[in-house]
Amino acid sequence: MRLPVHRIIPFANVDGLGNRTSIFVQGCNANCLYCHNPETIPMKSRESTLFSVEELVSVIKNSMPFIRGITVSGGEPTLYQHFLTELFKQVHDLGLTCYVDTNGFFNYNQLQNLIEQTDKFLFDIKGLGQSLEQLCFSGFLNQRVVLARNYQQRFVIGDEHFKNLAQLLQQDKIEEVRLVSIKHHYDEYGILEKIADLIKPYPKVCLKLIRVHTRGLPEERAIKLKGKEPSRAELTLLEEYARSLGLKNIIKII
Amino acid sequence: MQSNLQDIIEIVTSPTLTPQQKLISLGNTAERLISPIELLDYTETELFYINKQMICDLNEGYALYRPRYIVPDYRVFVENGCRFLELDPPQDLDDLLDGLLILYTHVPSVTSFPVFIGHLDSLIEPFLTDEAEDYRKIKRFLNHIDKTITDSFCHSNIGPAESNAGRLILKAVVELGNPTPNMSIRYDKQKTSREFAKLAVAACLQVSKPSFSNDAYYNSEIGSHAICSCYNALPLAGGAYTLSRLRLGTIAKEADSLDILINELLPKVSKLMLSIMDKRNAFIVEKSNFFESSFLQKEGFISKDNFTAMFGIVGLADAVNSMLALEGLNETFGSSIRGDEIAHLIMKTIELIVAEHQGKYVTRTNDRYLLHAQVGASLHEEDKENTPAHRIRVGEEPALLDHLKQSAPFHRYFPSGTGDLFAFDQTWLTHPDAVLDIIEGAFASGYRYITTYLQNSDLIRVTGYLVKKSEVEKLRSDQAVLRDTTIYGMGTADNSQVFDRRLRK
Repeated sequence: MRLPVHRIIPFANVDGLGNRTSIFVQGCNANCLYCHNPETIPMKSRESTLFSVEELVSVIKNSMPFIRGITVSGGEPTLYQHFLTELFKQVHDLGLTCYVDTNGFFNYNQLQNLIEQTDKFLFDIKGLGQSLEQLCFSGFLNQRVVLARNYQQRFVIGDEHFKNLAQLLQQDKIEEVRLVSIKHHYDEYGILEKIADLIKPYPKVCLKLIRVHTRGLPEERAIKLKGKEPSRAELTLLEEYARSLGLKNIIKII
Repeated sequence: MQSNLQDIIEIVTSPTLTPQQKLISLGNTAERLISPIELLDYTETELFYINKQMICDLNEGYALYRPRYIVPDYRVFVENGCRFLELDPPQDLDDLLDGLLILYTHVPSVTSFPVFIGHLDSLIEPFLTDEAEDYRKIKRFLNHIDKTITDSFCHSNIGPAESNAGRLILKAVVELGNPTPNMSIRYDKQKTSREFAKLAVAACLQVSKPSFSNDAYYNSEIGSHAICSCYNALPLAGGAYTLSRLRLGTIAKEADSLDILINELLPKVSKLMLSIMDKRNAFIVEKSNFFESSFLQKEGFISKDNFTAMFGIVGLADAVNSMLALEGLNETFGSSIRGDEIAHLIMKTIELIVAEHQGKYVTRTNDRYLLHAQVGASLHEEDKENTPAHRIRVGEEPALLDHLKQSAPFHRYFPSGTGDLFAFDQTWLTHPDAVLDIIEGAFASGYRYITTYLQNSDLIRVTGYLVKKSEVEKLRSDQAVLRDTTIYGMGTADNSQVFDRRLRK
C-alpha cells in the first residue's frame, strides 16, 4: 500500500492547532477554481512520490519532538482512507494527533474506519447547490458518466457534504469549518446560515472566513474569478453577519 | 587590551557619545591603563595570547573594583528595606517600585548598570490592589528603567508561575516596545500555564522578549539562579567575577591540523585563560575591597559565597569551517555531519580542561568555572571571523527543523548560558500554540534557552541583548543615541549581519 504524496511541510502552523507536519496527497475528487495547490488535483503527477506507511512514519518522526501532530491535506485525503487509517494508527502510537483536511465530498458510511482514527477534521464547505457545479466540478458533471451523475445527485442536489459535517460535529471530530468568500458566485449569506445552524451548538469549533485570492493562480483559473474578490470591508460584513447568527469563534483571513 | 592616553582624548572628543557614556568609557579606559602584568601578575605569555586576539577579556579592565555581573536578591529589600539607603520595607506598590529604582542605581556591574533587576512578577504580585492603577504604575516603572538604565544588558525575569503581575508586565512591555529591560520567562511546562506562555510567545514575537529559559534544566545545574545580562544563568544573590572568552575561529586559523588544534593549541590557550581568570577573581576578592565596602554584601543582597566565573567561547562555527577546509571538505558548520563531529570534539576538549581546573573563590559552583556560549562583541577585526557562540553563520542557516536539531546538542556544554534565536514571519503571531510547540520541543531536545522575534519589528535581538534598528540607523548617521548597547549592536550587525537572519515562514 502506497500513498502518492505531493509535498511534505515539516512545520506548519495553519493546518490545525499547534505546530504540525503537513502531508499533501496527490489527487482530488474536486477541481475548485480557486485551488491554490492545483498541481495536487490530478490523480497522477510526476512531481509526486509514493510513500509506504513506514516511510511516512519515519519522515514524521524526524519532526519530533517539535510537533504535536500531523495533518493530511491535499488533494483530498479521504480518497486514501485505507492507507491513512493504517498510517494514523501508527502515528497515534507516537503520541501525535492526526488531522484530515477535507472538502467533505465523501461517503460517510464508507469512511468509518478513517473517521475513527482521525482526531479532528478541518472541513472546507465549498458551497451549496448549483454553485458547486461551476466552482468545484467544472467540466465534469456535464459528462454522462455514472460518477458524475452520482456527484450531481449527492452533493449538488443532496447536500451530502453538509450532512457529513453534521455527523462529524456530533462525534466531536471537527476543529474548524472554512468558507471561502467569493462575491457574486453563490449566496454566501445563505451558506453561512446553514453552517451556523450546524456549528452553533459547538462553541469550540472555529469558523474561518477566507477572502478568495486570484494572485498566484494559473491564468485560466484567475480569469473566471475576476471581479469576484471581496474587499476587506465586505469580508468584515460577512463576519459581522456570522456573529449576528450567534457564532463567536471566528477567524478572518484577509 | 591596555589603553593609552590617546584613548582618553578620543572619548572626550567623540561626536556621538553622550556625557554619561563618556564618563563610563573614561572609567573603563582608566581600568585598562595599568599593565595587567604589574597589577594582576599576568605572565608575558598570557598577555601575548590576549594581544594575539586568541583570548579576549572583553575589555573588562585590569584595575578591577567590582565583579562583572552582580545578581542581587531583591527580596531582601521587600523584607528588610535597605539600611544603607535609609529605606524602610515597602508598604505598597509605589514604595516597592520607587525603592527598586533607587536600588538599581547602586547595583554595579561591568557596564556600571545593573544586569539583573529582579524576578519582577513575584516581587510585584503581593503589592497589587487595583488593576488599572497598578498597570499604569508598572508601565511607568518599566519605561523609567529604559530611559535611565541606558544599557540593554539589564535583564528582568518573570515566571514560571502565571500571575496577575506577570500578565500586566507582558502587556506593558508590548505597549512600550522598549529595548530595556531585557526579559526572560523561566518556563517550566509543569508550572507555567499554557495561557500565560502564549501571552509570552506573543510578546516575544512582537517585541523580542521575553525569551524562554528552560527553568527545570537550569535549576538542576545551578540551583537558585537568575537569567541576567544577555542570557547568563548565574547564582542568585551572587553573580560572576569575570567573563573571558576564547576566540575559537582565531585559534583554529593557527592550526595546521585538527590534531594540533585539539591536542596542542586548545589545551594551551584554555589553560592560559583559566590562569587569567584565577588572577582576576583573586584581585577582586583579595585586593579590591569590593565585598568589604558593599552594602549589598553587608545587608544580604549578595554573598561572596555565591559568585562564580564564566569561561566563554565564540567562533565555534569558524573554527569548524577552518578544519573542514583543511580536510578538503566543501561544507560549512550547520549542515555538515563531519562539521558537527569536529565541533563536539572541540567542545568536549574544552569542557574537560575547564572541569579539571580548580577555580578560585567559586565554591558555589564546586570550585569550577562555568562554560558560557558568549555571543560576541565587536572589539577587534578578529570578531568578524568569530561567529557568536556555537551559532551557525548568518546566511548558512539550514531550515528551522534541521537548525533546531543541529543546535540542541551543543546547549549542554554551557551551564552558565547559551541560547539560539529564530526570526519568524507574521503568520506565527496568530499561532502562539505552534511557537510554543517548537519551544517545548527545543527544551525536550536539550535546549537551555530560545528566543524568537518577527523579522519586521524595529526591536531586534542582536546576540543576546536588544536594540532598535532605528537607533542603529541614527548612530550610523553620527547622531548621539540613548543606549550604549546600540553601539555594540551596530558593530555586530556589521560583522555578522544579524539583522538578516533566515526568516522562518
